[in-house]
Amino acid sequence: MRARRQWSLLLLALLLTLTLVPWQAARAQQTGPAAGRDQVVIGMSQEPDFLNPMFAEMAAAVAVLDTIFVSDIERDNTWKLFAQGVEAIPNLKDGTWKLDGDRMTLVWKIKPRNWSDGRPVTCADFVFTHNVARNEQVPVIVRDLTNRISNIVCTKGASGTDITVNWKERYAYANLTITEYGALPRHVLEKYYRANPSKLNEAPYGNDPAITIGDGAYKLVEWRKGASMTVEAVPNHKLFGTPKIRRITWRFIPDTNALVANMLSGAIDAIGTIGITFDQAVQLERQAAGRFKVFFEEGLIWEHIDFMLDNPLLADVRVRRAIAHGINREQMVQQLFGGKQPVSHSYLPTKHPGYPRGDQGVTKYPYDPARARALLQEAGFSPGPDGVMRNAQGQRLSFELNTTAGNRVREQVEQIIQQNLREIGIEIKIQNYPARVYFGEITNRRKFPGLAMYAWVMSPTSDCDQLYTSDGIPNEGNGWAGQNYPGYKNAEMDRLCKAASREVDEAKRNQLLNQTVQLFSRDIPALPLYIRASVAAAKPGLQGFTAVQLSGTYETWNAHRWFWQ
Amino acid sequence: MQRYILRRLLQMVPIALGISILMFALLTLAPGDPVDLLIASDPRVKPQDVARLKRIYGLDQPIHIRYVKWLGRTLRGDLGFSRTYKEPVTHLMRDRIGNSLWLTVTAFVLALVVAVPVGIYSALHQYSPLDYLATTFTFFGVSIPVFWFGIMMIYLFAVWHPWTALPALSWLVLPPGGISTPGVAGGLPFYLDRLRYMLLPSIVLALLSMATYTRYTRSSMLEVIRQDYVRTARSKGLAERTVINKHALRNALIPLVTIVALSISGLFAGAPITETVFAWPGVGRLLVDSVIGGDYVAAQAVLMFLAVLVLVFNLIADIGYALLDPRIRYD
Repeated sequence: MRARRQWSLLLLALLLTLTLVPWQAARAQQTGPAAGRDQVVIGMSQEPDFLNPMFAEMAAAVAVLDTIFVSDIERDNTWKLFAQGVEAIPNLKDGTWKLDGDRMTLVWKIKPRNWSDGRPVTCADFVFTHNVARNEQVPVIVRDLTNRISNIVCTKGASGTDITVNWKERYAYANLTITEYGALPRHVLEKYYRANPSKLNEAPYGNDPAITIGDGAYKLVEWRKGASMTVEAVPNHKLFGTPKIRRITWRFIPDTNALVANMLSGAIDAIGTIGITFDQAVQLERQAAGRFKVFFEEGLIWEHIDFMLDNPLLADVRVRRAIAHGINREQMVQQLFGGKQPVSHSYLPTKHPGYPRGDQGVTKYPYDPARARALLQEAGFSPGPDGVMRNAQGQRLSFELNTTAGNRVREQVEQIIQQNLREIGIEIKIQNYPARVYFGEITNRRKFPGLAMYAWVMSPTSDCDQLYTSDGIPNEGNGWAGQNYPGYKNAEMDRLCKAASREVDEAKRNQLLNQTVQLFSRDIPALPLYIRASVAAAKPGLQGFTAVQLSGTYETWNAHRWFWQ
Repeated sequence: MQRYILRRLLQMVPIALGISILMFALLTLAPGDPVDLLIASDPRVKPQDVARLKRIYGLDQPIHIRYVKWLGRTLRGDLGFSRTYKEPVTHLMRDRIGNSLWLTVTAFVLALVVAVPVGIYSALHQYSPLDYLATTFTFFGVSIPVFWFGIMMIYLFAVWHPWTALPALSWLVLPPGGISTPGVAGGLPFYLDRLRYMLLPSIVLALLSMATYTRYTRSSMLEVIRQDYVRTARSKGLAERTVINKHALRNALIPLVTIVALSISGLFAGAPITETVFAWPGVGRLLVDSVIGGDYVAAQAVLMFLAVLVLVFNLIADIGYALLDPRIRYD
């Protein structure tokens, strides 16, 4: 009897502990006032892979890196360029960007600042980082700019801030970054590099908060793998002062429904662009009017359908145009996205500086089934007994449409396309593949027989070189390199795209790109569908947070200016 | 018995080797080599970059050479370096197994603590209102999809929580996901904080096994209490409590013990769906993420670890069965 009483008391004590302690914690979590708060918790569906810019592959990593590293040149949310880590953007007028035949020289001066351990950022750090990237043994993935640069010179000594970069060839966007990977702290990384260059990506720098130092407004203080990551403001930063938000924590919640639930519960303050889907953002806006600001920002992700131009039926531009006229894209974006993701008309998004203002000269294909049928008739097709068009040789206008399996939005779009095209006598057979197979075998090896739907992530510096030039058609000979999956060949397009990628004068470059956009819309090697909007959400009290959809720039670009109101 | 154990241990070697060959081949030959995929996703990656990276990672060698090298490294305890997580796989596994064990052991204990008494009560009071309630509960338990139940629990306890109108119940607002509050360091506050985060996922995870264990206990108990030896015990004039505890329950639990032993390997494997919904960094999520992310090094290590665990716990279950049931003898 006594033993039983003791057990009961023990149980009671345990229950009380379990009740009271979490209650206090729950109260603290719920009652925290927004104004004056100095922390922000951001939800992300991805976890950064690594915080060494040279090896980081994931967009999630870039979003965090924006806070712990300074960019040489940055873009704001209106896409305007500004000098962040350098005194000025080199330009042709003042001689800081000099052309010498095919070669170029750019002169930079970096703004004085320190690494978060107090050591100064110097020219030697830039030279070291560039030399590491050049080393064949280092498993850095992209060396596009690195291979174009011949050398870097510290004009006022290794400990100075003056840098001259000599380029082997002309490159249109050479004034957007000093080198491909900027500066990494030589005094921390050099010993790992000397020990084993091929395992530099296994060094603790980029992983261990104790030695992962940067020169940004924040420094990494905690990384709980699989759960969360926290950065803390660097006080009295030479470029940014002391940020009002002292700590930013990212919580990694892979299930996007759970991410929305976290936002609704108040456990997180914001969801960045690497978070919820478009549908969920619409739902969140509806469910929580007033409690959150939901941002829809027309971005740079371009959803389209590639035509396989090796297919003789699709090689005829009239058939491609008929397909474009036969799909009601305007109604599609209204029905599926409430018009928040607009129809696109060429390969560059309308916000891209190379897109002709006011759609000038861009051929558009409004929904017009009568025009579509007329085009097919002109191409020698007439309706067969089953309603499907066929030509004199009896070939039916029947195409396979492929996309990534399990993507609900794309599956809905497929159904609309199938239904629309049936009305003009074109049969569409849907065959979808898991993303790995689709992008690893089908699109990049040009194995799709008819139509392939997917998206390209463009950036403000994207052009059509490799994307729609004939040397960008993947084949066994070139190791399946290049992104011209439709197999589009047009000598004029080749000339314009190559010239644009080498043109250093921005106005002239945009003029060349305008022409490529017009030519593309006329030849239509791929059917533009719509521009995806990037979505984000934040509590209304968080000031300065905006959705950004730029490759390489995420909403954290101005984190040092955020504050709670 | 010793000879039997030795024989089984020796048999495990070729089985484990066979599994490793099959697993290595399936993962390696799957379409979409992780380095090849880089070129498809980023126009700045050139064929020479792909060739260079393949050389650095040893992916340019024939599959059998890669397998032998991988096996050699694994036997030396080097599980490789994860490309997705940029961490040695041994570190990754150590942390993830720890996290998964927190969750799965809690769920497991919770399931057993509820399921066994409920199953016994149900069997002893067959067709009573409580028995109907318990069988209906088990029916729901095995039918409800885990991801849906997880999201519903998040909505109920973290988003909606209507009971917070009563201040006494306001502690019942639980975190919707994650493993702990960032910044909470070691000691008692850390464990209490972890407990709060663990409540929802462990309840969700426990539900399914709870239902299964209840059904097993109930049916096994029903079978046993009708046996002659139970009737004999009663006719000897033994107290009902003694009859149930000493004669019926001990025999009724034998099949349950086997199932429990077999499911222990599953505790280390984590629970991919629950871990994903509740953002719990466990082994299950590691496996799913590494397969999706094309991180073969991590996926191979996790799969091999799980395969060996299943083999070991199968053996333990067989031995345990023999120890519990004197009718079973292995030679």
